[in-house]
Amino acid sequence: MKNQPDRIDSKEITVALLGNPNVGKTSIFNSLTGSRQVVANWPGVTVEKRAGVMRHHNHTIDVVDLPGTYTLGATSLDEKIARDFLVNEKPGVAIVIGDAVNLERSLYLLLQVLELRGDVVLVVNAVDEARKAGFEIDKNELSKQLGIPVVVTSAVTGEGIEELKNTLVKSTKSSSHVHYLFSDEVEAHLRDLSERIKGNPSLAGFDERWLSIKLLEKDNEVQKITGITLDYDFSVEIAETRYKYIKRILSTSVKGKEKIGWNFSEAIDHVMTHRFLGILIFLAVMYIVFQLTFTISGPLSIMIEELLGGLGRAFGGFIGVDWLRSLVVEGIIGGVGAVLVFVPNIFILFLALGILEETGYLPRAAFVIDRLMYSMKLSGRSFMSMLLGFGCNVSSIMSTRSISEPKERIVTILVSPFISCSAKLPVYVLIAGTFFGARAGVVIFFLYVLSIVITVLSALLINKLFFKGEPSTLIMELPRYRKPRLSSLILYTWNKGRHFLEKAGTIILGASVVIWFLSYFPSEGTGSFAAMIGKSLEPLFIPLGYTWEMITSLVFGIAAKEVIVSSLTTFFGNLSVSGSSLGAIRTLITPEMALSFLVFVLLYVPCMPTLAVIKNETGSYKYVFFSVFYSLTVAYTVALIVRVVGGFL
Amino acid sequence: MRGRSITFWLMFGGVLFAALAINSFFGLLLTDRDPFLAIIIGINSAIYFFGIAEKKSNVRKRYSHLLVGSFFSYVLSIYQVLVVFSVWLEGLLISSCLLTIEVLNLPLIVSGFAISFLFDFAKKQIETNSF
Amino acid sequence: MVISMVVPLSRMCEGEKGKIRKLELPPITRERLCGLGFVSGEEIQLIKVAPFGDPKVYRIKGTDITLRDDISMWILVETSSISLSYASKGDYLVSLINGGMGFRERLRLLGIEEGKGLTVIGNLGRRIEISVKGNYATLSRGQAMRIIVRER
Repeated sequence: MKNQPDRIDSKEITVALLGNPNVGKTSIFNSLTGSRQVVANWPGVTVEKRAGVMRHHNHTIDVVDLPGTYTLGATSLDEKIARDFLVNEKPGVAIVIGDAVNLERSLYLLLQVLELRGDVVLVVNAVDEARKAGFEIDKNELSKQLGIPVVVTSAVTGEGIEELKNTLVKSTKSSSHVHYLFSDEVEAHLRDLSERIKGNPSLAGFDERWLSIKLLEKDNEVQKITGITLDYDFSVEIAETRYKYIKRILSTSVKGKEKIGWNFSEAIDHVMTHRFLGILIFLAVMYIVFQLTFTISGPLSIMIEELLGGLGRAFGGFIGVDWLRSLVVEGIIGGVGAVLVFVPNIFILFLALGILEETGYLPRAAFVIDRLMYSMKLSGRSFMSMLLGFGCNVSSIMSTRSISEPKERIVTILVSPFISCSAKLPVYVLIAGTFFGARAGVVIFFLYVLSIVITVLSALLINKLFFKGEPSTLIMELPRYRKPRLSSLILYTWNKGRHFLEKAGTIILGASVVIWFLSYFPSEGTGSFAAMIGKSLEPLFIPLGYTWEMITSLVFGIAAKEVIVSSLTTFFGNLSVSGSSLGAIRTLITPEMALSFLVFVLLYVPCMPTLAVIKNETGSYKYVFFSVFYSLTVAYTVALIVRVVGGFL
Repeated sequence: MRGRSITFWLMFGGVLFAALAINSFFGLLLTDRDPFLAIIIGINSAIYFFGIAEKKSNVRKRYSHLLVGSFFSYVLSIYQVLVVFSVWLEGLLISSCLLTIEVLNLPLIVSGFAISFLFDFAKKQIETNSF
Repeated sequence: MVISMVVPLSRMCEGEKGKIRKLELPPITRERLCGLGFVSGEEIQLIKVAPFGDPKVYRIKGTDITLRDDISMWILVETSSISLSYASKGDYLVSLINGGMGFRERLRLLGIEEGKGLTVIGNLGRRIEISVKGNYATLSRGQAMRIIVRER
């Protein structure tokens, strides 16, 4: 009661959000929970789980955002997660979010959720767009026909959100939904099956009608649980009955006539997916995204570097003990600094990606270059991720989250490291500049081309190896264009960026300390453990002819590729980029050795953060090991070829 | 608006941005040499020109070219502003001014913002008319 | 006289509408498509073709979905076709030509072939005026009766 303001009524129920992809489920989730949300993974898989808390009128409600799905079958991972949550966790209320403009399709999912017999609320989102298109939704009629509360919302204008919160808080136990019946034949089967299931005590926790329907639909999971497999398949008929029922409901609840002619999205799409302009626009968008990321993050990274430098000096002044000072300044601050310098890059990249995704452009881009990707047995979605690899492999691998096909996702993740990331560029510039002088540009260009070639070949190879060379299926929705909301963008960028920081940061910190240790003890430079490692590995590299300094740099490069440059400069003293004063070095290393070294750097083991992200995104170490061995093999082989061939030229 | 006016604006946009593209490619007037940016500006110009290639009777297709083209131009202006901001910021950090009048590429910024009014116009036309 | 022709979804042409007849696909794919509205009797329209001919965008139940030919060729669609003699002004695609080699050859010289488009400029009952790729031609009613077209 409101007379006791100090007592908070804790009505802890759990609410689950369901809906088709692209209906604005995330926006509604954000509206309900604000920033009180946590993003993690569903246990054991790499599907994002969003959970949050909603506070309204002294009530506290847990909200879980289930993955967007079109049905509750168990064929895709997303569907399985959604369904398992509803069946096993039995949330207090299940909210199904539908699209006012495409209500027919949204209701299909609703009917499947109703078949599960919990408490359901229907939210019809984007009513503002429906009105613009000429429809009016009669929510009372809809509610009467379905037997559940219906709330009409617009995530954009905020309309209906209050009402939704009130509805959730009221916790009406609606005991009667309106049932729809299938054909007599189907109903007869359902009765039989329900009887059989009722007799089975182990299935007591389930609703027998739902199980029966699923059995008639030949649902694999349910067949396993019940142990019953039928000869006949009624899935087609059941689907058609559902849609017929939906059409009937909508005929009385939705009024108005659709305006003829183009709407806004269609108009835009005419150009965006134009036969010629489509690809050009895509390239232009990519260019703009890249350029912006690097230009804006440039000065920001410099600022961070200076800050860290200052921090290092400050600490350096404090600490008297030599090795401790070195550990803190060079090891910790230096090492972690290498990651932090990336931060502006990563965040801006994710922001740009977020804009492309929220506005709805990404599927169009994927559509336009799909044909090209098909020859690599991938699809347009992967291309976007791979392009990000030119900036940083970590972000490209993290962006594969949005690829729905698991096979394709893994192939994309495994070939990403071959895309020459920006961290390798300083190495190219240094070495190429030293050994090839004016022609350094050509050499670097060659490296990028090689990177692309190896990526393509690897994609084909990996697909063959792991997935028997089957191409992925493409069934992709092109949602309406919409103006991205600033709050959603910020949340999105923050979530993704924070993830990167946590993962990459912890690994790099550990690795930096280890590397520092190896190069500091027993005596810095040539006497260190690191040098010993390098010298011991020298025999392996005889065909390639690398010196121990180069090898050790490569070993350090595993932590982060930029480290190669700093290691090389430390070991070789001052390598001048213009290439003039290098007598001794030049006799040790021939140009073809240098070139093969560059190729090796391009192709060998992905850096630590990348490996960490690979483990995260694929969920298993098997792929990490594969990545390491495969890339080493490829690097060694190609570098060797380059050296031998180069020797002849 | 009748068919003729759309043609005019499409032509205007196309020619303007073609000129800007050439300008950037060779670094002629008030801008630095930037062949890559020139290509991108050229793509914007192509959007307008392809609009003229559409059949005159197909008004809605022409409007869509105008719509997307003008939005693209607007984005280019914002892009350029952001780039200038970064250059300025970088200069601030290394204590020397990196900005020159050419870096600004004023012709691009001004054109982009100027032509963006067409976007609102085209949008209104598409939403209120049934073609 | 409306004739129904059943064609694979992948063979429809831009702008054309049809009704889904059958989905000859493995159950998993079929179910996914089902949730998107791909059921018997549902109207589907080809909206756009990608730059290299594949994939294509279809509109079903108000939503735009992208499909590659490797799936769409297994979805059978009913398109309503009529014989050219009943066609009013507009753009069409030739579905079928009922005739012998000679007839087909004569039509081919005019640019009329199965799978190709034509435009009806005027239908005066006795004579049908068409244009194919900019060239004009006039067909007699008898000839037009044997050419089955579908709307574009």
